[in-house]
Amino acid sequence: MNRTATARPGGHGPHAGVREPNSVPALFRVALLRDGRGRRLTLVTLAFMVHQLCEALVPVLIGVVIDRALAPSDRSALFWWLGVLGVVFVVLSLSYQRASAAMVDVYGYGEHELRQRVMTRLLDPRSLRRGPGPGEALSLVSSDTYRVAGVSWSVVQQASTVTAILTASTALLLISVPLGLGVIASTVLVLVVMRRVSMPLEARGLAEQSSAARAGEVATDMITGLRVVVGMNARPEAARRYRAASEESRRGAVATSRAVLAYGSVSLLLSGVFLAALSTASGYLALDGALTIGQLVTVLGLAQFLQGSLAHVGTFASNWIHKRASARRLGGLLDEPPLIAPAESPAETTPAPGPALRWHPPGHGEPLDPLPGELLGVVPRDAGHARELSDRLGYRVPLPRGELLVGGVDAVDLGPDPVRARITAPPHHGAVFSGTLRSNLTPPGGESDPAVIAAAMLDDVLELVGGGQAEVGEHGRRLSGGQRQRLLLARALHTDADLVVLDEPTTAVDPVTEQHIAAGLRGLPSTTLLITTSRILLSACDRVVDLGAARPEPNGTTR
Amino acid sequence: MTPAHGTLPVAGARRTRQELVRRLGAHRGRLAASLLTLLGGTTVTLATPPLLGGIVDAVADSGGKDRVLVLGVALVLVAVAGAALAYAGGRMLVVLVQGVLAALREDVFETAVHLPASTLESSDSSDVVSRVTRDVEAISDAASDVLPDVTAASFTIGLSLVGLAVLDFRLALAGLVCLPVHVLATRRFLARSHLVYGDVRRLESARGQSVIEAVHGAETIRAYRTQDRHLGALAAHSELAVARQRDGVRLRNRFTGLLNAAEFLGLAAVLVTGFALLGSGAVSVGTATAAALYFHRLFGPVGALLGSLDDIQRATAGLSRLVGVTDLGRDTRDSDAGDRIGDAHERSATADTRHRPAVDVKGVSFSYDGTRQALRDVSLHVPAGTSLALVGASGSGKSTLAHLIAGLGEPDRGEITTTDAEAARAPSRYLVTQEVHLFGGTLADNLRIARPTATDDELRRALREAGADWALETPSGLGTVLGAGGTPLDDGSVQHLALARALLADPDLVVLDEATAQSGPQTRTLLRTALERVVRGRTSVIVAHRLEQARDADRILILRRGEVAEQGTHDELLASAGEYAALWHAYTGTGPSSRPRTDPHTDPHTKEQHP
Repeated sequence: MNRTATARPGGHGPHAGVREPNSVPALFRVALLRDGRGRRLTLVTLAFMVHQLCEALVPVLIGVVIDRALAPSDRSALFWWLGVLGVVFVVLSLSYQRASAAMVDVYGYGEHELRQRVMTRLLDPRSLRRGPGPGEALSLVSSDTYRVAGVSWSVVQQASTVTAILTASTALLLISVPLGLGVIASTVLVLVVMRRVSMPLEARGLAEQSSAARAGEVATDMITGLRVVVGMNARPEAARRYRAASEESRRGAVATSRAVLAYGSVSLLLSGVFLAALSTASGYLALDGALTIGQLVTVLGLAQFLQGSLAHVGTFASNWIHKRASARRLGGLLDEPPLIAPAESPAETTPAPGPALRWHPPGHGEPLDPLPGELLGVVPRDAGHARELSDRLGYRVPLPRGELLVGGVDAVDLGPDPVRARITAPPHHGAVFSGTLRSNLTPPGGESDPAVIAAAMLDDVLELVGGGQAEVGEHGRRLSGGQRQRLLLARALHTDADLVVLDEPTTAVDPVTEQHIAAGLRGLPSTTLLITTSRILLSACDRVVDLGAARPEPNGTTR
Repeated sequence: MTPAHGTLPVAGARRTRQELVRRLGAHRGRLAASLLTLLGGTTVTLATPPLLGGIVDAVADSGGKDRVLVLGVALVLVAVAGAALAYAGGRMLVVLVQGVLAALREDVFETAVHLPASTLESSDSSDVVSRVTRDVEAISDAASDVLPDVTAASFTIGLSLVGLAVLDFRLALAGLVCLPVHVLATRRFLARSHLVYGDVRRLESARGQSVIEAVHGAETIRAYRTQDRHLGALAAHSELAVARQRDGVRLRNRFTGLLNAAEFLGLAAVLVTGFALLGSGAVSVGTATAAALYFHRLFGPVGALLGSLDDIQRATAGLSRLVGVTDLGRDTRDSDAGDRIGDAHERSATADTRHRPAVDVKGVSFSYDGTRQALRDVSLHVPAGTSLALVGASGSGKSTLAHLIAGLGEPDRGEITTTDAEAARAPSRYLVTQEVHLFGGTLADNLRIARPTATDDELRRALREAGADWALETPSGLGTVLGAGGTPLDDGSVQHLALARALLADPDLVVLDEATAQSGPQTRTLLRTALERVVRGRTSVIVAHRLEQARDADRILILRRGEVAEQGTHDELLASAGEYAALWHAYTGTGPSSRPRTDPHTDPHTKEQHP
């Protein structure tokens, strides 16, 4: 988990010397202060402190009631002090309620802002030089933002716990200076000891937490691949593997719980010993006449109350360690330089003469100028080459100056987004989003084009799934591979770009359908660049350029 | 089973309770031991208030420092014993509960993978996945985080009341005045909390889903420049979740308010009663102190217990979803016997001793939902040891037919027999699916799933035979971790492994629905060679996604809208100049009509008929 931290040790990277805009304190400031959160959080913290102060006053008042009312049997004092207790309870309850209501917004919007920032960065048109994998990205967007936003809770809770301890020790100091000092010293001692105890437990707990997740991973793996498993008659083996993973998870969960239990028990023990010491000491003082009975009761009540606060103090340090680590990871992502760097020199915006679109594929002598309305076939060397070509046309990789000209302007000067407005080059493994088939086809409110739908052979799919309003499921899982691919094709053809680049759009469809698609593409008026080795598709093209050394099979000629 | 996209059943409350009792009941002894230990721990710590009261009395009586010291030592012993017993009991309980939970999730998984193909096709895989992951996690969290606290809290509350009663039963009765308020607060809270928190969880999971999709589809989003749309959707989800959380906090605040009122009422009642009893000389100051401290001690546990009701509610909901699946297993478990019949695992077959079943399909019809016919009166024969290619447009029923021949599902009408005159047992059938799936773990894990007993040498042999030598050249050979966390593979390579797996499984009848068409002659040649090896000497049915696959097969069958349109050998079909011939010529660019004349714009109804 500290991989990012070691890779970017606090700004010694390429930006050494420059203060990184997304340092740990900066991100904490986002969670705590931005957008009026600072003012709100101050009020919330104050309210929680008042709440804890009242909580600490309850045992004090119990002592007072016993001292002033019960011991001397004073009825009016009893009702007077019960009235005071009632007022304390009202303040205690109301302050807590107001604070927790306000806290929803502080925490919720803090998390929201961090999440939007991270997500915006992940979707940056210029991409990231070292982008996280999907798993890492997910944990950044969900777990890490969640933890960093949680600093607001840390501040509030720790402030109120400190308030409780301060209130209690002030009360004790007023009653007896040695007792008050003793409590403060014990608090510090507990803090240190619990930190010591928690470190090894924490390390073990983290290691075991990951093994506790094993069963879930294997289950997801086997269920998503279940058709493959069933085809192999491997259901018993899948079940056996799951049992093994489940056993590993069980051991992990037991070990984690054991660590938590051990921590809790140590904290229970420490606070118990603290209670015993404080009670004995105050008993001695009372016997020496330094305390009244009522004061003794108050001290004992406070000692009992402090038990809980001291247990919380033990978790302070570990609480921040996790949050700092998360913030460091978020900062690493937010400060990651873009893959496609902005043009160094100011953009040369005067269009050069020539055709609207010009692409100079690397290693190819002639530039390619797709003509309006043309279906241009480009033959790649292999699958990897096809992906590369499509990445270049989609400006997903850095391009050298002069490779791609849009409207006479170099793509490098335009930047990726304006280029993509003119050239639609979706990736081969395009994503289908959950929602309706229609929502995947056109932007909201966009009209679907029957001619495009027919050309992509999507009308078949529409008929089978029950129309455009049919839900396609997560990642379009309710569609078959061939149906998904036709949806991707129709989506690409629905854009109003000057050029549509298709990267092997028919690898998952059968030859019969492929042939219909080839005919359909030919019939459409749009300008299309088709990267493919499919003979059927190539035969429909107006012009074919071979960018691969080897010829595709079967042994035919390229038109 | 269930038509359309359904979800799996959920067990009722009574059935869930019954199952829980049954599973926990199997460990009655250990359960009792752990609960008793926890109870012992709580009992010991409840000595604290009387001991504190004793100190008060010792001071009031001027009893001397020795008496206070003894009480102080007793307090230390209480702390030690309390902590030790809480740890021991908690540990026993956690081991027990995690064991029961592991057994339950294993049963759920086992049932889920053995569900009939039709149920799996019709229910969302995400439903199954969320049950074996999210629901199991909810229960596991509740078991390890909430359960020990709740157990301790319940014991503390119960025993504190006992402690109060021991001091004086009137003090205990006074403490109970808060009970009606607690009941009222809890009822009002629970009546609405599951709705609000259920909504919050749903909204958060929808938000999580939109994050997952945006992360996975980042390239697509960039290509279509739809960042604003996705970020906007995410923001809208956040907004909704925060709004609903506000409702949740409002609800919880009302609950907390009533709990605070109950605390005050109870504490005041105990103090007033203490006042009265002290006045009548029935109790000492120390006893009154102990009673008040007992009651004050309850604030934490009561809050913890009532505050975790929501988690318990959630875990119970998860539990009923799990029991819903295991109950399904009791009905279907009998039918999975068929899985094992064709098990080729324990056999070391060579080409000579291999069974060669013939496949007979007679008048088979099949529909997925009872209305749309996927296959209509299909008959065919695959002689022993030969191959048949199925060709057709998507939706023509070729994959359905292949799945039925592979033994996944029963036809509505007609019959499919895979006979082998020489063998007494049913031949083993094996399907290589369209789905490209890389299993988690190492290369060996990915292969051995088809034949768990295979030795490393057999794995290597299968890879070499499939021409997948590249797999052995990876950093750690068979031990290489594949996929996102290790060496990434492209779809073609994953499918190559699938073919190697088929060689390893060595079935009598192989059905290939392998669909990865890869660019580039090199990959294509590799896969084609592997495919040839798999088919060689075996009765095989191949769903042809590329026409070379059809050409190489012994016989070809063309399906159109669920019916047989043509069948014969490659040469026969070319000679007959029908649909297949036209397709072939277009595919190779050699024939008389190299450009299809079909125009989908003018007449969509003719698109299945080829010029």
